[in-house]
Amino acid sequence: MADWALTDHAIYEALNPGDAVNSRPTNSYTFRGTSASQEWNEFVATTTKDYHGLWLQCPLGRDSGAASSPGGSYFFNLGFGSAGNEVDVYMGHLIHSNSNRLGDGGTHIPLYIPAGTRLTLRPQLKGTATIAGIFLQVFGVTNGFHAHKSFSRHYRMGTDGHSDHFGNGDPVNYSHALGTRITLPTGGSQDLGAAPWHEIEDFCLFDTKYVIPVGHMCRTSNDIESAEGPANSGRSYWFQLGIGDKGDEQPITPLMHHQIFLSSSWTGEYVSSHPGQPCYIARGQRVVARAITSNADVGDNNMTIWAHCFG
Amino acid sequence: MIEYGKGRHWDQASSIDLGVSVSPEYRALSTPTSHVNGNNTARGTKLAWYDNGATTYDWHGFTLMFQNSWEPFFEDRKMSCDIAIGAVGSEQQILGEFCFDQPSHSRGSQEAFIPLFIPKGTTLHVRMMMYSNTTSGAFSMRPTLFGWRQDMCHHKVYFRSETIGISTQASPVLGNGYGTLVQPTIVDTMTPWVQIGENTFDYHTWYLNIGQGFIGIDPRITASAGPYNFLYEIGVGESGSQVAIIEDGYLNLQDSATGTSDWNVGTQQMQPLQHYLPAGTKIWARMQSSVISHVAAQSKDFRIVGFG
Repeated sequence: MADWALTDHAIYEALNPGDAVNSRPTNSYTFRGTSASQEWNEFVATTTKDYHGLWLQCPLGRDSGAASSPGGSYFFNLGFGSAGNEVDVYMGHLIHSNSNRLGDGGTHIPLYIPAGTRLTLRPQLKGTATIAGIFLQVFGVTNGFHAHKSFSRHYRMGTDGHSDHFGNGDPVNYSHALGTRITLPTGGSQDLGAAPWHEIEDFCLFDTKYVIPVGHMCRTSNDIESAEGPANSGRSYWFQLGIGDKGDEQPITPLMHHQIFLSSSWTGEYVSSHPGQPCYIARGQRVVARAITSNADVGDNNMTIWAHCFG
Repeated sequence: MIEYGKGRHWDQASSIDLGVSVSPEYRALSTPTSHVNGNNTARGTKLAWYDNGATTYDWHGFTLMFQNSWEPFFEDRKMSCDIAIGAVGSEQQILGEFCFDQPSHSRGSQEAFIPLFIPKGTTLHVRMMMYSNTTSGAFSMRPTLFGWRQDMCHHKVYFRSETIGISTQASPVLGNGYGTLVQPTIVDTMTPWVQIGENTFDYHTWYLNIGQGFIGIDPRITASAGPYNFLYEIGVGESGSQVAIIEDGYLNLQDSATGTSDWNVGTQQMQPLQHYLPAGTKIWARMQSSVISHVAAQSKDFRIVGFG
């Protein structure tokens, strides 16, 4: 008997078909500012297979010869449903692009999507501008994706009661609508033991089995001001999630790191990558986060933290 | 919160039973202290094994995370990592040449799941190699390992790994990146299939990690040059009868809004793929680019790690 199973192939199926003439996906998307209506874009009219997860490639690409995509905070929701009846199933995938940075690398989204689903995408953008012609790719992963189980529930933990539809948020200080703002120890302290735990969720809504923690770094008002650090230098931010009652918190995720670059000419906000990981958080658990930074500037010692939860 | 699928048949297909509530446990065996230096003018020399101590429970796979240096900040770099087990002085490599790109300016940790089983009590070792695109001084990195307990893990685990497609060239000039070069020469036209590595996996593999990054030295573009678009495909099979297992993969490279030349380098992607390949299967890549006038930026290198 052969010792392999022919059914153990996971198939990656590009949901945005390639345009061989232009070396990029066929369909582009328009990201509208938070003051504008956020319309749904049909991504797939009807999925033809059961997908056990999605693989996102979001470089915020634009056509060759066009201007590069402006720096900013781009995000989107994925939805199911017929036209006019779309329902969010994955909310607030934030992609940040400052003036010198590409968007996301690959991100695995462990959602189960049955055959016959109309899959839609609702792109949004911080501020009031409208940026058209943004390319991204989404793969449906099918026929078993055993490396990651797939789930049927998602919510963004730590949103502090704010809407998952960012159009209701403050278009300037929108970070407040993304997650829970916490203040980091001042003076560039890198002593994690001195960093207090901050509650981001008092009651986990369901048994969570996979999380994607996200950290967003910005000033109280807006951008981290590069001029506050030596030119061409870096500043590091670290954060992690924990669980437990007050005074008895325990870390549950690795200490995740993000470094930003300071120069005399660039300012910006920054979002961490999306390090998804299996992680069990029981329903009802109190969830906390803590963070440190090497940035000694008082105005820059803020992070907004949330987590995509799947279960 | 949206709970979709409630009461519908396909909801059952995604139900997971983890059993009793379990406090998750993570171990960062490599503490975040700078301990790795690389050669930044040429492909680096592998550094000595760095002892990470013994595991305290069975690892059903682990996350391998690379993190940037503390200040000062340096430019784009490429790096690879080896993992070994065993006593000091008799290390046995279990994962080799696992590569990451680190674009400049702003990038957080990069991580990949490694589905290898490591028993409790096993001593772990890490060593690094890297080069940068500049001649500035040495820098430090923090490879960090996080072992997954069985009761936290949904993954299948494996006991062997093999990396194919790795370049052994000595210096980071064109075509001498960490992987196998695929270089478009006709704009917006798919290249022929290029075999990733001369050798195929010598055992059945069940899980692949597909990495692709920009090559060699100086893949910078200027404000007037971008954006560049790329489509890539991964295929298997014999020459002339390849079958694509990934189609229409997409990358984009953009210029700097500051209007100056910039280290705007694409990120090495680490795409997980659960895919069974019998021993001896050849793996291929091909790609196309919207530009062919900037060789260092239009090309990519590929390397693939198989687990079985």
